[in-house]
Amino acid sequence: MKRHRRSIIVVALVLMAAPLLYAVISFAARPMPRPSWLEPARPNTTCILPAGVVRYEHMQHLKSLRDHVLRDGQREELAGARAQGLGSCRGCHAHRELFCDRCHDRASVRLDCFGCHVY
Amino acid sequence: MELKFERIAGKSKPFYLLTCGLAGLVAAGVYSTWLMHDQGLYLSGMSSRIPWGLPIVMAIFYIGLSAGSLVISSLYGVFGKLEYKPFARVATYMALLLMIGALLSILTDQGRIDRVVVEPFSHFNFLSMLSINPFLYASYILICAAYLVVMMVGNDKWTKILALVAVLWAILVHSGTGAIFGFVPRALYNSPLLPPSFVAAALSSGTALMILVLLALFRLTGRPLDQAPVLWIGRLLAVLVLIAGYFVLIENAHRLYAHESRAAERFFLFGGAHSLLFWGGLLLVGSVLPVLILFHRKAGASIRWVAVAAVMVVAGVLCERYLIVIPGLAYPPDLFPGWTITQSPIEEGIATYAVSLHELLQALGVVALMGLLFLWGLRTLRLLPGEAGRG
Amino acid sequence: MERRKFLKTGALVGAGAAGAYGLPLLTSLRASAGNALAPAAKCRWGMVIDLTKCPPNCTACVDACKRENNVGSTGDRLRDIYRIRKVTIESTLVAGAAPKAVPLLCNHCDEPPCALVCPIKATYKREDGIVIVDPHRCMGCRYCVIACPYNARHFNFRENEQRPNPAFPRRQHGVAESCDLCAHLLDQGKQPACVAACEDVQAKALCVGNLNDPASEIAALIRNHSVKRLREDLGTEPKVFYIGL
Repeated sequence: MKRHRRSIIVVALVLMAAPLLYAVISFAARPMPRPSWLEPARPNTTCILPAGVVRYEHMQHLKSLRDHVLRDGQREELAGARAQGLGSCRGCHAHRELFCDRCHDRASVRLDCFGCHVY
Repeated sequence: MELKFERIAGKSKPFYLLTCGLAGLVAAGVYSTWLMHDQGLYLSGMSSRIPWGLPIVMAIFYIGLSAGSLVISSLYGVFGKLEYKPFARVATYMALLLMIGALLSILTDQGRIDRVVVEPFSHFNFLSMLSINPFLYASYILICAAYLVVMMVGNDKWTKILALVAVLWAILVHSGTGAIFGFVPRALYNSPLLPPSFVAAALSSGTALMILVLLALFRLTGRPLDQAPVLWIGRLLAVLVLIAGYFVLIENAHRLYAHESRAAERFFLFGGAHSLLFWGGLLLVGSVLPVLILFHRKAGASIRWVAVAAVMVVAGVLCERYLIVIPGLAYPPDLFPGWTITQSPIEEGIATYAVSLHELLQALGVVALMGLLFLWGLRTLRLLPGEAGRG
Repeated sequence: MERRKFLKTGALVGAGAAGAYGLPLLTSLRASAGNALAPAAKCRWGMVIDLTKCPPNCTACVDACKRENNVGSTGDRLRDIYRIRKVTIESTLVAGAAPKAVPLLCNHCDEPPCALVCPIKATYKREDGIVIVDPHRCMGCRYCVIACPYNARHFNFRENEQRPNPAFPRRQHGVAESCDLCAHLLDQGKQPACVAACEDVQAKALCVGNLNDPASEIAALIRNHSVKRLREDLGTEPKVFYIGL
């Protein structure tokens, strides 16, 4: 028992650190409050999804859309009245620095899109 | 007499100086890597014609060395030869570190590191050698780590089992690495002999490296070394070098005979600076001279000459790793038989590759990191044989 | 005793590895096998290049491709990206043969070695036969660049600042790149940039069409001419056919 005293202390510390770690991670991953100002959308338009939904799910939508367009060659979602895609976002939200970047900078989520795509 | 293992004190001035030097090299390597990924891989010597360079050459070199380290460890673990027990832990630890160094080399060579840590786990292509191999490497690392742990805990039954599994898995791993090159339609790559040739060179280079590491370690830490087992490993090394040389000869002879690869093989054997690396580096220094030394009646019984031969073998296999990767990419495919391309906006003939400073620093950083981890292991884990085992 | 244990452990390890890899491997092989003649209803894109109509010093296709796909050049012969390039070839067998100008591009093989080796299926063959790089997924391992026996693939070693076509994205450094038959244009029913440019200069040497449609222009060209593909011996089944090679 005495020989393993150091290991027991280490294991105990790790076990005690686990709930602390859980608390820290939960705090870090908490829903982010809105930034104080976002560029308003173009008047008399509605988004393709309700605002609350699109705010938290736009990444999944854009990801599945890009695979659908590029990998499957299906472009029907890019056209029509409820067109999806970065290009159609820009139709209502004109400037990424005043709209996309406001939240993304606050949440420290780096965007990979605009390195290649023009907004 | 019970063999006890111990740590090194790790408090001497040379130890600290070495640690600081290695840490500096690691910092330089990290900076170079960051620079290349921030600005683009054009800072390396690679090109669209030769897209793999020093990082991949070193990666396959380390992977090979890792298998060979296990050879020495398996002499105790699998075959139960007690005179090799003093070396088994260091050898297994080296095998582990070399694999980590190899994975690091590969990781830092990718164009988008932020994707390489995510995409392979969600999108597998089971047929691709580059997706099969990381699975093999990762499982091999776990097996080696488990083997080291059971050896240190002293569980003889599991030591035997894991030693055997590790050696067999190592053969899989290295065949897989050879297949990365052997299963691709390039004239100097496409060969079913590359996997076994890779395994053979791995065993010889790893054994040679372990001889050198053990000699250096025992001398630097003031431990007396029982020469007989090391001399026996020297004989084993000679046999392994002969086997590796056999595969190289058959492969090159076939490429020369087969019409579709004859022009490429002529380029390989006689067409450039790499040919010197083949004849002088791989064959003469890496194979013929070491075998002559190790089978010589007097030299083969001298530890100093065995060490010289080991250095030659390691250098020869490094040449071979370079020769596996680069000449195959430098030689262009024959797109128009009977015609030659005289004008093109890109390089269509023999391409050249020169290591850039950034690549070199990155490679040195990986070596230094492995060195740091090795020193840390010597100091923290009981890897070296202690007082009771001497004599 | 030792030998029996060795054989037992070896068999176990072999069985483990085989099980771990054998089953998914078999399913993948079954899925990717047998693409010899795709069902007639599905589209299968191919290309015909008529060298007899290709003017020696014209680079319309090359320039149009670079413009359409936002690919820049810096004069670096080893790293510049050319999705389509024109080379001049001269005969080594017989004296006095006239040099030929040959456009070279990705052959969109039916058995693409690049798609076979991509570890994450970032390079893959679409249902319609186009071999394409997904630049969102590519992690830049360059295995596909190595595997291509036609030197048709490139890697973005540096950031490309030029953006002549704002309607199409560019690529950041660190991903592989290759001709995709302007899939974004084909998907909208338009012609690839090189084909359109070749028509504009009145050469009409390039033709892209559906190989599975017997009434298409490309099918007629292949039926009525003696066509050749590059490195047909390799078994990659390229879908770019050359007339006059």
